[in-house]
Amino acid sequence: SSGSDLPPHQEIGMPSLSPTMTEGNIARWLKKEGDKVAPGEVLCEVETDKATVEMECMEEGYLAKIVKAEGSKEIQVGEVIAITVEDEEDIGKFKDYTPSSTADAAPTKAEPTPAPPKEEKVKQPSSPPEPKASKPSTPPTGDRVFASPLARKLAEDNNVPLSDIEGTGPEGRIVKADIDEYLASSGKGATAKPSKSTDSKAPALDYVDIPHSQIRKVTASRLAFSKQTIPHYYLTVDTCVDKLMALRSQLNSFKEASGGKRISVNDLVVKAAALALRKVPQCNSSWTDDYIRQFKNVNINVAVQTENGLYVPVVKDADRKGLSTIGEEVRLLAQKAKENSLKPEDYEGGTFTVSNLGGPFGIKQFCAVVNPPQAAILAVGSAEKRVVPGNGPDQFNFASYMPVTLSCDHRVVDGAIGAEWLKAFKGYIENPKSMLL
Amino acid sequence: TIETSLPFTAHLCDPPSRSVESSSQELLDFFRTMALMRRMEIAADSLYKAKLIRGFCHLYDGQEAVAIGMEAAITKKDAIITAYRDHCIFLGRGGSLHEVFSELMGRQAGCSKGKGGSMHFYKKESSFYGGHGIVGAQVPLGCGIAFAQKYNKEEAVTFALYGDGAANQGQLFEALNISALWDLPAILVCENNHYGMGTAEWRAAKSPSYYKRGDYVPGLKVDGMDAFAVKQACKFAKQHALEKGPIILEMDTYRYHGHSMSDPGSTYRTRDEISGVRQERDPIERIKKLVLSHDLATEKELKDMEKEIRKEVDDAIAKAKDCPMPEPSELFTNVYVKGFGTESFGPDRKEVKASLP
Repeated sequence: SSGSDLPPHQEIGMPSLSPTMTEGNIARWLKKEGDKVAPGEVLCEVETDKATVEMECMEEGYLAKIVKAEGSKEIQVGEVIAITVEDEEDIGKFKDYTPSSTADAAPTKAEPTPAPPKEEKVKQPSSPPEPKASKPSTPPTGDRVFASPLARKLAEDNNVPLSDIEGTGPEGRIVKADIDEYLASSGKGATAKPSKSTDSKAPALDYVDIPHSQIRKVTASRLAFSKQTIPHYYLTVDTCVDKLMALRSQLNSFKEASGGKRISVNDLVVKAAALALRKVPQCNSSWTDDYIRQFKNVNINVAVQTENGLYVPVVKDADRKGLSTIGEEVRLLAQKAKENSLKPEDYEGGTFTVSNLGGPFGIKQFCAVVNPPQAAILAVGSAEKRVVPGNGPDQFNFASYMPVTLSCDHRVVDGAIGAEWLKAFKGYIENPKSMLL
Repeated sequence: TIETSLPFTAHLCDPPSRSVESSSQELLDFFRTMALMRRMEIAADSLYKAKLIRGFCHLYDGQEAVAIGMEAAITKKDAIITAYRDHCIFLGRGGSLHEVFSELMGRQAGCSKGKGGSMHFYKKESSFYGGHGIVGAQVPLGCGIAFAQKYNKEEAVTFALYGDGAANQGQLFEALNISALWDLPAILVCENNHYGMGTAEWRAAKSPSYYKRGDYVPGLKVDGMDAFAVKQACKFAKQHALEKGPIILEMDTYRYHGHSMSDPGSTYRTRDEISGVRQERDPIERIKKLVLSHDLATEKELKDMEKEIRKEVDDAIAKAKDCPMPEPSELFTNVYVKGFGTESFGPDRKEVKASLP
């Protein structure tokens, strides 16, 4: 602890950088131990309850010791986070320094005098001392009795001491009904305790707080940004996948014969989407404040859920790649995502996204959130066998349908254009051989 | 004799000479007081961040030369009235550190009995008519003080300070108009620190030449980072006000802190700008250089002086912390003028109530 043998130094406490801040996290240190610091320079970045704020240094000197390392969380306001000294030679003497456990909020105390913390914590001016014994569960805030103005008036008029009454209003506030009840009960006889001993404390919840991972933060902020700024609308269409399935099993039998990996429905969907984007390039665009950028490349992101979070690696130039290449790339990227080894070039530069919850999870149909700055995202549901009315009475056929939903940024893609795209997509899915053309 | 580093720019008047008389004692005093002000404001910053000062708090660091230069040119009979950035003006008027920190932390020993807080410092016995919380409202009040001074033939003047943000308020022009009509000894001092609350000067003011804003009233633009330029200008302005009526002084200065404690001060300007001003225009460094170049003290002596000041400030804080908070009944005093039979009370009429004598 800070013995008196230490040279003069300043203890820098966690600053209160917002009026409601009680604790903070250290996001980043901009100075290292031993660095020279001058007034106005940024020491570190502090995450308050509201924002990340730069904490400025006020003294000239040297940063001798960082007590709370980068990433430290929930540091109480006033808790020592660092030590500065005036003389460079003194830096070394704080190597093994641990702050004295004084949690009292008084940083930059120059003298290390271990004087007992004299300052009294802001004492609430106490109201007249009432015997407290009779109030078992008034809410925790000090001596103040919370009551509505009407209740106060009523209590005053009837000479009822507020401290004898247990509030049933919001947060234990005394309301008119409580006074009425008290008057009624005390009128009837003796001091019948209020019968309902309402336990103001709800049974404690059992929970665990999971800290945000980086990917969670990014996902959260980008999706919130998307939903808040992009005017979404959704178009759903059913696509008959009988021919697609037939083609797939045909192709897979070739693949098996040659020892290749099988082609999935999703690979076909990616290919069809890429070709549809060629046909309707308006959907292959990005909104900016000044112009709409229409891309000549068709790079399709594929959403992959992993244990670490949601990744969307990209298949570049999907319109110009064959199904085996697409299949191979998607498999590889998904593998990399699971191993958390995606490189920036593996997920950057996408122009359109496909999310498939149908195949792996059996989700019938859903609406995805546009992946900014892209203009559209395709949500693929699960294929389902249906009965389709035939030509004559009592005639019917079976067919498999896969519903897909396109979410569009209306600033870029108008409804009819989105519909145009879906028509093209449906065309490729329902007549998969046309993809060869 | 010291030459001011920048010439004065005048509007409707002849600027004063650039050479300022001084003494070695004055130079050292300037250094000491300004360093004390700086240290005091930095201590206030720490106290605020430790939640020992609550509510509003506006710091003066960077602008010390204005307070000190003005004080050097006038007497305690001359009145000063300012806005909420008032700690250092109060100190300049002869207030003590103990009063400052007690007031900031809401203790009985504060200059406003701990009931005013950061924005409401007063020292009537040395004609300091306060920090005022309402932007710009102190200027008409200051003109009223000047009226009283003229009426009572006191041969004194009033300095009404306001910021570049408040300079755009209508009431300033109304007060200036009547002051000019009646030739009141009012000096409007615009402390132009170039930023209002979260806003740069150029976003808020069509014409940033505040010294010319008086139109029919003369004005003078002063380097507000140079204590001697401020001193010379205030001397000149006092003379002018006594003889001819109101005048506007624009002090070109800079605040290192944000507007208030809730403004980090780095969103509307770059850190490079702040550190540039610190390096090139800092008012204390300027005096320090003068002291050193005239061999009035050694670097070591100045360092020791700073250490002494730090101790002085720390002691004042410790003393202020020991001081009790005001009594609850104080809530109801100093609200109405005594003797009118009024009664003040809180929401519960029985518990806390005070009848005024």
